[in-house]
Amino acid sequence: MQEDWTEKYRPRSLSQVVGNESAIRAIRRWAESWAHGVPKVKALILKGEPGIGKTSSALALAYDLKWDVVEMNASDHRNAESIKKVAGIGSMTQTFTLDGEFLSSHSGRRKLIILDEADNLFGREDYGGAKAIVDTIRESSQPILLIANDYYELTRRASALKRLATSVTFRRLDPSAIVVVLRSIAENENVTVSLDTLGKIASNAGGDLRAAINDLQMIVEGRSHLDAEDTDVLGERNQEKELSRALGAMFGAKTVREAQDATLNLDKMPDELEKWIEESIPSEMKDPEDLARAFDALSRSNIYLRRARALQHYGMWSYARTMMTAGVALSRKSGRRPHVSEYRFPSFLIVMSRAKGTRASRKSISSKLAPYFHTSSRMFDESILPYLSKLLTKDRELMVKLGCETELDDGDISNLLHVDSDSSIVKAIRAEIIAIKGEDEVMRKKTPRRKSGRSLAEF
Amino acid sequence: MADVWVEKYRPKKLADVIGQKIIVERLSAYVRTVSMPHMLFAGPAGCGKTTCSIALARELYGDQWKGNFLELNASDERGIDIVRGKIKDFARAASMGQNDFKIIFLDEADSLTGDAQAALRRTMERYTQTCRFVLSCNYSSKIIEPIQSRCAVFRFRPLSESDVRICIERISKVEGIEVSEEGYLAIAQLAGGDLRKATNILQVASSMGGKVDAETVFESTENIRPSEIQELLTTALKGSFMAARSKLDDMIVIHGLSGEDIVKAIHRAVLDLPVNEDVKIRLIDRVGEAEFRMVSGSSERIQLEALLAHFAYEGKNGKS
Ligand SMILES: Nc1ncnc2c1ncn2[C@@H]1O[C@H](COP(=O)(O)OP(=O)(O)OP(=O)(O)O)[C@@H](O)[C@H]1O
Ligand SMILES: [Mg+2]
Repeated sequence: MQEDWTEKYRPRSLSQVVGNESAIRAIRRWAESWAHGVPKVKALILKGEPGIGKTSSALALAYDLKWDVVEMNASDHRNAESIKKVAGIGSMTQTFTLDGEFLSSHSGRRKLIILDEADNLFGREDYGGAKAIVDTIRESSQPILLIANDYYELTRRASALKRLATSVTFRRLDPSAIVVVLRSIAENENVTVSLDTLGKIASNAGGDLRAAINDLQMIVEGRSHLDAEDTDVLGERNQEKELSRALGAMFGAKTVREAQDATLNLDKMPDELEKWIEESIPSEMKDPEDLARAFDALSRSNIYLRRARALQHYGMWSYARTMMTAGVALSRKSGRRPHVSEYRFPSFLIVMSRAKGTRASRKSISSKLAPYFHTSSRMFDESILPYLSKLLTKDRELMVKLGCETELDDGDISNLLHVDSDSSIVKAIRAEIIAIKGEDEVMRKKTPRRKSGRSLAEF
Repeated sequence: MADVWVEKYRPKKLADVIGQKIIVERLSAYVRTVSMPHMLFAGPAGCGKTTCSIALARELYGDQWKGNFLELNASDERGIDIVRGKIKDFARAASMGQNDFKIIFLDEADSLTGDAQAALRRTMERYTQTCRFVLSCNYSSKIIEPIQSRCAVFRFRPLSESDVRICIERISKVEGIEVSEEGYLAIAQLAGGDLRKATNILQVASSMGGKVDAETVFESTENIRPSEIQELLTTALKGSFMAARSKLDDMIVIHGLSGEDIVKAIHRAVLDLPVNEDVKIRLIDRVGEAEFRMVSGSSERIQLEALLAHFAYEGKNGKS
C-alpha cells in the first residue's frame, strides 16, 4: 500500500518547507534564543490559512533541533486540567533543575509544546482551556508553539496572548512554488505529468499546497502518465470561476426557466447565492428603473429565505430561487447589457470577516471598561466608546490612567487609539503604565487607594 | 417479498454505478493500487455518494468490508464527542486482515457542527497509516476549509434523464414490470436526477399492480398530472374562474390532494404557461405567497381561490 502523499511528503526539516521564508526565519531566530536559557518570548503563534506549512514547520523545527515534542490539538480534550497535565509533562525534566541553561547542557533536550488548532477551543468541553494556555505560557520554561487559522478567534478567547506571544504569519503559496513541489513528487512517484497539468492543479488549489498534493494523488493514483482530460475529475476548489459562469448565464437569460436553470448545479446554499447576486446587480443593471426592479425582486427572495428559516419549511427555497434568479435577471428592460467580465466575491462577506476582528476586539474592550463606567457592554459600545476613543487619541494622560486602573492590554490600547499593536505609541504607554502601577503597588500598601488627577467617573 | 428496492438494487460493484463515470474510474484505480487520499464527496441527494463509498469498501476488502468500514451518519452523531471518541478510537486501532487502512465514512458530514469538524483535522493527518476518511455532503461550502484542504474533492452531479431510465430499466427487468414511455418520462421528471427518488417512485407505482404508466406514477406519488394542472391554470387564465374553481375542488375532494401539493405543482406548471416571462415571475411570487400563508395556517381553499383569481386577472391584463 502507498501512503497518503501529504504525509509522505511532509517536510522533515525547516529547510524543506516551501515558501514563507520570513516566517521560517522568525521561527529559527526564536528557536536560537532558547540556546542560552529561557528567553523573553516563550511562545510563538503561527497563524494562517489551511495547508500552507504551519504544523509542518512546528514539527520540522523539533526534528532539526532534536527537541522532544508534546503535541495537543483539537482532537484532544483541552480543558484546563488536561492542558496543565500535558504542559506539566512538557516541563517535567525541567523541574529537576533550576535554570534552563543547566538543563540544556545536562539532559540536552528541550520539550517543544505544540498547541495545534489553538483557535478551536470549544466552550463547554474545553472549559477553562484558554486561560490554561495563558497560564502555561506564563509558567513554562519550555518553548511553546501555538498554531491557528483564526488569530482573532484565538486572541478573543485569550487576549493576554497578544502580549505573551509573538505572532508569525504564514501566507498562501504561489502557484509556481506549488508546481515545483508537485513536479518533484511526480518524479519521485514515476509518473510523467505535463507542466500544464501541474499548473492547472496548482492554480485550482488557491495557494493551499496540501490541497494540491491531494488533488495530484487523486488524479495520478494507478496511472503512469497523465493526459490533459484526466484533470476533468478535479473538483473545482475555488468555485468562483464556476460561479462567474453561472451568474453570467443567469443575467443573460431571456426566460424564467433559463435563469433558474443557470444556477441549478451550483454548490451553493440559496442564501449564499443570494449574496453573490446582490453583489452583481449594480454592475449588471445600469438603468435606474432596472436597478430598482431587480432589487425589488431580490427583496422578495430574501423574504422567502427568511420565511423558510422561520417556519423550518424549506419548500420556500424554490420561490426564493425564482425571485433571485429570474426575478432579478428579467428586470432589465432598458435593453443593453453592460459587459461584465468578472463577478466579485461579495464585499459584504469580506467586510464581515474583517469586522469579525473588530467585533472581537471591541468585545474585549467593552468587557473590561463597561464595569469601570458602571454600564452594560451594550451601553458602553453605543454611547461611551465612540467618544472615549476620540478623547483618548488626544489625551495621553487619560489613556495611561485608564490603563492603570483597568486590565486593558496592548491590543485593546492599540484598538482604542487606532494604531498597530506593536507601534511605539503603545509601547510608550505601556512603559508609563508599568512605571505608575509599580509605584501604585507600593503606595497601596501604605495608604488606602488614592484618587489622583481627573476622575474618570465624571466622564 | 418485502424488500425496499433502494437497498435491494444498490450497486455492489463500482462498475454497476450509474453515471458519475470519471469518479468511478478513479475509485476503481484506488482499488487496484490499494491506495487513496481522503475524499470529500459533494453533491445533491440520490446521486451515488453513499453507494460509491460502500462499493469502494466492498471491492477493497471483499467479505471483510464491514469490519474495515466505519459508517457514521453525521446527522445522528454530530457533536464533538463523537469525533474525539468513537472516530479517533477507530482511526487509532490497528487494521485487520490484509489491508493497511480502514475507511471511515461520514455521511452527511455537512451536518457536523463546526467544532466537530475542527476536531477532526489532526486525526485525519495523524492516522493516515491506519485510516482514510470519506466525507459526503450536499454543499461543500458547509465543510470548513481545513477539512476540504485535507481531502480530494469529488463533485457528484445530478443524474441525467437517460441515467434515470437506465436505472428504471435495470430494476423493472429483474422485477418483471412493464413501464410505458410516458411512465419513464413521468418518473424522470418527478425524480429530477435523484435515483433514490426514482427507485422509490417506481416501487410504489408498481405496487398498484399492472403496468407503470404516467397515470399510476402520478397517482401513486400523490402528484397531479401536469396536464391536469395546465388545464386548471389555462382555464383560470381565460377568465373562467368558476370553472377553474370546480376543477380545484375536484383535486382537493376527489383526489385528496393537499393544498401544498397543488401549489407546488402550480409552481412547476407556470413555466410552461402561454404568458410572457414577466407575468410568470409575478405569478410565481403569488404562488409562493399562497404557500407561505397556507403553511402559516390559513385556509388552503381560500388561498388557492385567491391564487386562481390572480391567474384570471393576469390572463386579462398580462397578454402583452
Ligand atoms: N510550506 C510547505 N512546504 C512543504 N510542504 C507543505 C507546505 N505546506 C503544506 N505542505 C504539505 O501539506 C501538508 C500539510 O501541511 P501542514 O500540516 O503544515 O498545514 P497547516 O498549515 O498546518 O494547515 P492547517 O491549518 O489546515 O492545519 C504537509 O504534510 C505537506 O505535505
Ligand atoms: Mg495544521
